[in-house]
Amino acid sequence: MTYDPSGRGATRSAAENQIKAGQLSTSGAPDDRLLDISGLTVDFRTRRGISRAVNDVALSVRRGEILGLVGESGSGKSITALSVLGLVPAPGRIVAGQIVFDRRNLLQLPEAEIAKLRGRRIGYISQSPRAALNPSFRIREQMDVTLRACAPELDAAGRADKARSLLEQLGFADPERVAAAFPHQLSGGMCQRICIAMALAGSPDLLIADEPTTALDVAVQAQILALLHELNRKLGLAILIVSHDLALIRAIAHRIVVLYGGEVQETGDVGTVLAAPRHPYTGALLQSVPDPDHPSARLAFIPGFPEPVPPDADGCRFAPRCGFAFAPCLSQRPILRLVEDGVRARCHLLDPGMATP
Amino acid sequence: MAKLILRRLFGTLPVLLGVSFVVFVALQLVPGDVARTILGYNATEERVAALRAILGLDRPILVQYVTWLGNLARGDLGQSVALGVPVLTVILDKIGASLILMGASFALVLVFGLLLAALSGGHHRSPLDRMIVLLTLVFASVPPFWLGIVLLYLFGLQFRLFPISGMYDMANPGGLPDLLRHLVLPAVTTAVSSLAVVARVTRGRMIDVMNQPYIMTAKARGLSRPRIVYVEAVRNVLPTYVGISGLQIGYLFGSAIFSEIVFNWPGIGLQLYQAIIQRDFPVVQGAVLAIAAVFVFGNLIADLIAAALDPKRAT
Ligand SMILES: Nc1ncnc2c1ncn2[C@@H]1O[C@H](COP(=O)(O)OP(=O)(O)O)[C@@H](O)[C@H]1O
Ligand code: SF4
Ligand SMILES: [Mg+2]
Repeated sequence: MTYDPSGRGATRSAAENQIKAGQLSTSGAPDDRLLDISGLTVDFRTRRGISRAVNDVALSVRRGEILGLVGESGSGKSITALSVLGLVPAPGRIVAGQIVFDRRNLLQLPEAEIAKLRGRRIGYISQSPRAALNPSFRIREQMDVTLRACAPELDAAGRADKARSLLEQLGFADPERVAAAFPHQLSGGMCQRICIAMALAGSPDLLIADEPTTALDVAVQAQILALLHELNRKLGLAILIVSHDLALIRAIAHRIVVLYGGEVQETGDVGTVLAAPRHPYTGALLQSVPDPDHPSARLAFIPGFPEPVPPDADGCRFAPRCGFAFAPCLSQRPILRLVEDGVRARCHLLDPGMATP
Repeated sequence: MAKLILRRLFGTLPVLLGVSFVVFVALQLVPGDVARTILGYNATEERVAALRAILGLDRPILVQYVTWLGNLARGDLGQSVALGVPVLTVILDKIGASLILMGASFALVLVFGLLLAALSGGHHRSPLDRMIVLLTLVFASVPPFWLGIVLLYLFGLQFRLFPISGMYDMANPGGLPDLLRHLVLPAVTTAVSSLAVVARVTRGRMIDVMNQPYIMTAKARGLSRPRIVYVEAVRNVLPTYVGISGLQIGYLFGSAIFSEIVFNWPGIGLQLYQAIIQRDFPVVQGAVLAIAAVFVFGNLIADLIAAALDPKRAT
C-alpha cells in the first residue's frame, strides 16, 4: 500500500473497497462490533463555564476494521479517543453515553477493570511519539515495564525475547542498539515505531492511533501508515485512527466518521462518503486537501474556526461557517439521518421535509 | 562530565575569595577590636596601639587581607585570640560535630522532602495534597530559633522525650544511641524550613511531570498507578530535587547555627557565635570560610549529581 498525501491521485476504486470489505469476515452481524460508542457526551468545566467537547457521539469499530475519525483541530477527536481508555484529562468528564467494548459497557466498570483493558485489550499511540516516551529511561527498560504490565505471564528472559521480537516486527534491524538508547537519541519515526511496539506488547484487539503521523515528515508518515495497514491485514488488528488529514484517512481507513464541534456530521464507507460528500462540512474538508500537482494553486479553506460549544447550544454546529446555511440551521439541531446504504449525515439540506433555499 | 567537574571546581575559587573578602571587610565595621579584646578593658590606649602595630592591625585593610590570604595558602588561619590556639585547630575540633548535625538534618530534608513531594504532587488536589501544602507552608515560615525553643520546651522539658543540651550525656555517655537521642531535636529544628522548601519546589515539578504526555501514555500502556507516580514520574523530578536540595546546604548551615546555640551543640556554629561575642575575629573569619567551603562544595556536588541524572546531559 502506498500512502498518497494528496488524496487526489488515487481515489480508491470500487474494486479496492470490495477487497477491503471482504476482509471483514462477519461484517454486518451485530456481534462483530468490537467497540460501540453511543450518546457519548464529554463536558469540560472551566472558569468560563461548561464547554461541551463531545456531544452525543456514536461510532463503532468492527473487528478487523480500520475506522478513520476526522475533523479539524478542536473538533473532539482526541477526547473521543481518550474516553475509550478512560483517560479524559481533568477537568473533562464523561457526562452521558455508553462505551461498549467487547460487550461490556466501560462506563459502568470500576476503574480497576478499565485499567486491566489498557495495554492488554486496547493499545494507544499518540501524535507526539518522543514525548510519549519517558525521557529518563532507556527503551529497554520502558519496554520491560510495559511487558511486565501487559504480559504478566512472561518472566524476565521471556520479556527480553518478546521485546526483541516486537522491535524486529516493527522493522528495526538492530533491536539491541535501539533498546539501549534513550528517546532523545532516536528520530521521531523510530520513537513512533517503538510506541507501536509497546502498544502491541499486550496483543490488543483494538489500537487507538491519535494522529500517529502528524509530527513526522512525509516519508516516515508513509512508512508508519504502511505498518499500521500491515498490522491490520496480518493480525486482524482493529484500528481507530484519528486524523485531521482526509487524504490519510482515505488511504488507510475502511469507514470514516467526520466530527465537527464534538458531533458526528457524517459517517459511512470511506469510498462512498468521499466520492460524494453529503454534508457541507465534509465537502469543505475535502476541498481543503492540498493538491501536490498544483502546489501554487490557492488552497480552498474553510473560513472561520471551530469554537467551544456550550452544552445548551441550538442549531447546527457548523452554521456560522457553512456556505449553505438557511434559517432552520440556526435554531434547530439537525439529526443524523440515513441518506443511503450505510451513509449517515447531519444536515437540514438532507431533510426532504425541510424547505431548502 | 570531567570537563564539567573541572570547570565547576575552578568556578568555586572566586566565590570563596569573595566571601572571605566581604567577611574581612565587614569585621572591620563591627565595633570592638582584637587588641582591646586581648588586653582587656583596663589596658591603656598606648598598650592597645602597640599591640595593634604588632598584630598588623594598623595597616590598610587590603594589605591585611592579602597577608591573611598568603597565610591561608600555607594552611595558617592565624591564632584564636580568645583561646590562644591556632584557628585551624579550633575549626577542625568543631566542624565534626557540625557535620554530624548537618548530615542528620540534610538526611531529614532529603527523605521527607522527596516523600512529601511525591505524595502531594503525585496526587494533585487530593485531600492529602492539600494537607501537605498547608503543612509545608507552615514549616517554611517557622523561624528555626523560635522552633528550637518550642521543641526544647515541649519535647525536652514537658514530655522529657529527648535531651535538651549537648551531644552526649555528661554523666554516662552512651555511644551512637546516645548521640542519636541528642540529635533529634536540633536536627529537626535545623531541617524543618529547608525540608518544606524542598518539598514545595519538588512538588511543583512533580505536578508538571504528571501532566507530561509520557505519563498519560504510561497509563494507556497499562502501567500501575504506584509505578507511574513513584517510579516513572519521580525519576523525572530527581534533577530538580537534587538541585533545590543542594541549595539548602547553605540555609541548613544558617539554621544549624541557631540550633547549636539553642541546644548547646558543640559545633562550629556555636563556636562562631561565641567568637563574635568575644570579638575573636580570626576565628570568625576562619569559621565563615569553612562554612562557605562546605556550602560551595555541597552545591557543586549537587549540581554534578543533577547533571548525571539527566540522560541528555550525562551522555
Ligand atoms: N484540557 C482541556 N481543558 C478545557 N477544554 C478542553 C481540554 N481539552 C480539550 N478541551 C475541549 O475539547 C475540545 C476538543 O478537544 P480535542 O478532542 O483535543 O480536539 P481534537 O483532538 O479534535 O483536536 C476542544 O475544542 C476544547 O474545547
Ligand atoms: S444544517 Fe445547515 S448549517 Fe448545518 S451543515 Fe447543513 S446547511 Fe450547513
Ligand atoms: Mg487531537
